[in-house]
Amino acid sequence: MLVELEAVGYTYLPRSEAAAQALANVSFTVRAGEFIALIGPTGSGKSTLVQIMAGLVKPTSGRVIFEGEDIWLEPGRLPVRRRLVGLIFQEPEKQLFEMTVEDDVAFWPRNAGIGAEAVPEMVRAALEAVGLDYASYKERSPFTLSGGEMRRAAIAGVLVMGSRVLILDEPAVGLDARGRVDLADKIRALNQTGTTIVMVSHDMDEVAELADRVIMLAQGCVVFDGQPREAFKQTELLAGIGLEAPQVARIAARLDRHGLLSGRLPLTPAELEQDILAAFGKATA
Amino acid sequence: MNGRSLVLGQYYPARSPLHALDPRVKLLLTLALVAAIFFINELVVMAAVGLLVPILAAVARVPLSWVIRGLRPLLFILLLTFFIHVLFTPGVRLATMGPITVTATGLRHGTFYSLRLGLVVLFSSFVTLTTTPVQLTDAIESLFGPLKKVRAPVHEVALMMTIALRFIPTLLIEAETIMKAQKARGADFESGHIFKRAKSLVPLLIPLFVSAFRRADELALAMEARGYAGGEGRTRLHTLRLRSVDIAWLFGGLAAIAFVVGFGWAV
Amino acid sequence: MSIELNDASFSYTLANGDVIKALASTTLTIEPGETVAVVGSNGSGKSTLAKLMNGLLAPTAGKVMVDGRDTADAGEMVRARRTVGMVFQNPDNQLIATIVEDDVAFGPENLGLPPAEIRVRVDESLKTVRMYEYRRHDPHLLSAGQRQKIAIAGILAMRPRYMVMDEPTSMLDPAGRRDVLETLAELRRGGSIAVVHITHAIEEAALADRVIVLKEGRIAAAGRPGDVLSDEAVMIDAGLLITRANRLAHRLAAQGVPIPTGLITAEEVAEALCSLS
Repeated sequence: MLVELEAVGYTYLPRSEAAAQALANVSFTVRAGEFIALIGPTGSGKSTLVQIMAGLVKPTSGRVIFEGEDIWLEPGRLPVRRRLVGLIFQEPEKQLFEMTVEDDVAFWPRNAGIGAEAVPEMVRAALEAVGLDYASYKERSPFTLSGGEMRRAAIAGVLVMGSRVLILDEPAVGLDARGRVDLADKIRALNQTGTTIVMVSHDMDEVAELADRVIMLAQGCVVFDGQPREAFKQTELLAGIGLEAPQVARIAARLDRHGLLSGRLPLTPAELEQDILAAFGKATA
Repeated sequence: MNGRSLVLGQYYPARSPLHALDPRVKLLLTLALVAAIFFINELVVMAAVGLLVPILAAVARVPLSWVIRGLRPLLFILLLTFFIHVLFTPGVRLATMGPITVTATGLRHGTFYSLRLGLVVLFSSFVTLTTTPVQLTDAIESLFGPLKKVRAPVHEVALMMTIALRFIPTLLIEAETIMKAQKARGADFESGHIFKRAKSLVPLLIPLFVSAFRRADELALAMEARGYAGGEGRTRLHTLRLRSVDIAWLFGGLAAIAFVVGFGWAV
Repeated sequence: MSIELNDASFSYTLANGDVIKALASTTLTIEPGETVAVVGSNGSGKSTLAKLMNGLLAPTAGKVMVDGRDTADAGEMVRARRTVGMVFQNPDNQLIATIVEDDVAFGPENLGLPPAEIRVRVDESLKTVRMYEYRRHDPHLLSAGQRQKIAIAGILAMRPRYMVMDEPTSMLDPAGRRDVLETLAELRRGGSIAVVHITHAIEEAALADRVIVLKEGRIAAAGRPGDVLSDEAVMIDAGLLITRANRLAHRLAAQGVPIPTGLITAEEVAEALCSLS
């Protein structure tokens, strides 16, 4: 059990007339090795939630627990505790600022007081994890890179922390098809080598294929926490909060209403294909 | 982030005769009033003029506490002005505390000068309390309009001000996001002595500037795409038009101010 | 009356001397009232094509004609911008005012129209995008999708005959995307304005009358959405992916299910399967 949220609530400007409640009574546990997809419409509090999960923002109520310790009880130890969770913001390329890619990726290790001899290797590993060759990119200015390269360099800047939990806030927004697939592969690889992933995403097809757990947020509350297969069965719930089911689930739901499919709701394209072939196979048999 | 509205300056939204008054008239009257204050020599007259503050607040339907709040940034200077006069003006001795002497003249001067400073600020704040930044920009553009004849960049400056006002909230939100992103990477904006803190701002300022320039590029392109080609030949959806009540306020206000000045000068 | 590109290309030189050919020798026509989708990976020349169409850029070779006028002629570039409106990706960086109706009025103000006419156009455009009740609101308090609709209204208020939209939904959430696509559908039904819709999202491109696929500055394919977007070889070559629904249709067809393979969206595939049984 790595990160636990206990009845977390967050209100903006609590003592003024403009007070707005962003989160209410959010509780869940993040376990090692999971791949959690956090979904919900804009305004549901996702961004605030991930910032609280990363220990950057203090909730106005409730507790945030990293590996059994309430992190806000000892604010002095926060910088060290925060290493557990790495947070990649939306459009992370906006945080690039150094003269060279190496310096930018090295920002965290240098801030964390890691010895100068160890840094280049950490930078190299982080850049490799995002598919950028250390030797060719390390001396380049981040601002001369292409959009896709900039995003990868920025992600490397967080991966270098070696966090056991990695939160990604809509990592693929603005990328083209190839970019999305490539990024999804890299994230899956990280998960398979032991990094716990929490991914905020609007792409339900991607969620269906990558996540093993879905947490749905609406108006600051958790309205679903469970398996993707179950999540996408809830068509009214999804529609009610302005989300759309993945292509596979939509096709399956339509076929199910028509009486063509029965039994489990397929989650992946392969499953759907099997089910349809079976249905047609039966018809012609 | 969408739910939070940022109130810029001190604008207090309400419906009142002052809110509805033409912003140019407000600017001109305020200018005249502030100038007039410097012609007043008597503390009594100054105090009487000070009574205008609660009256205007009532007319503007703005709570007096809001108006007084405008003095907060100047509290230090006001107190400094007061105490310098009280403690260092020679005259009839009132009390002595060791090397410090308080005189009646000193008290009178102290009150007079700090009151004058305070009133200038308070009267100016009535403009920002009852006028939106956009209205102010329009008013300034209109008042300086004649300068276009001598090729002064009036339209350009007004447009720059409008765009700046429009982007301040956007950039503030962006700065907040960048700060959090860098904090997540171990940046520390809070601790350390002044030089260290200045240096720690680099990971905030550079991305913010880069982003601002990028936005400026995109905005310029969007403006060009919408046919923007400078101020020549442009029309406006909303044009400032003086109503008879605006003219009444203007002349009435100027007359009242002239009266007060004459009275204060003569006394 | 149309937008015509005749062998148009656009190149620029980098600081280090390299010459980049963003668009090479392209010929195409946009007819009044039609909706054309342009797809391609990043760097395929989509944005350059968009800017050539509305006179933000002049071709470095070849010609671009808007309603019979050459955009490279003096004064024509500005006129092209009145005829061909453009909506960009980021709603925030198109908005210039702090009140919705003031922003929508920006375009007509630039055209030097009388205030009464501006008022009419502003109200009309806001109603078309269904944002009329928000006309006195601060755009900051609106969602990204709503802000993008305001940007569209700002272009509609100029009454262009053509509108180019450069990835208008890629920064929006699903609700915002739906909002903008509904507006597009509304414009298509009206038929009075041609829309060039540049997009990554293949399901969105499927809604157009015609699709153009760009690859490395050239047209790789053009035709009906069902034909072009289902051609896996062409799509992969252009750096694009066919939709999951389309792949399913291909695979089912290959295994004997008599389903047409030119179906792109999940809904199309589902309907076809239902009608088969």
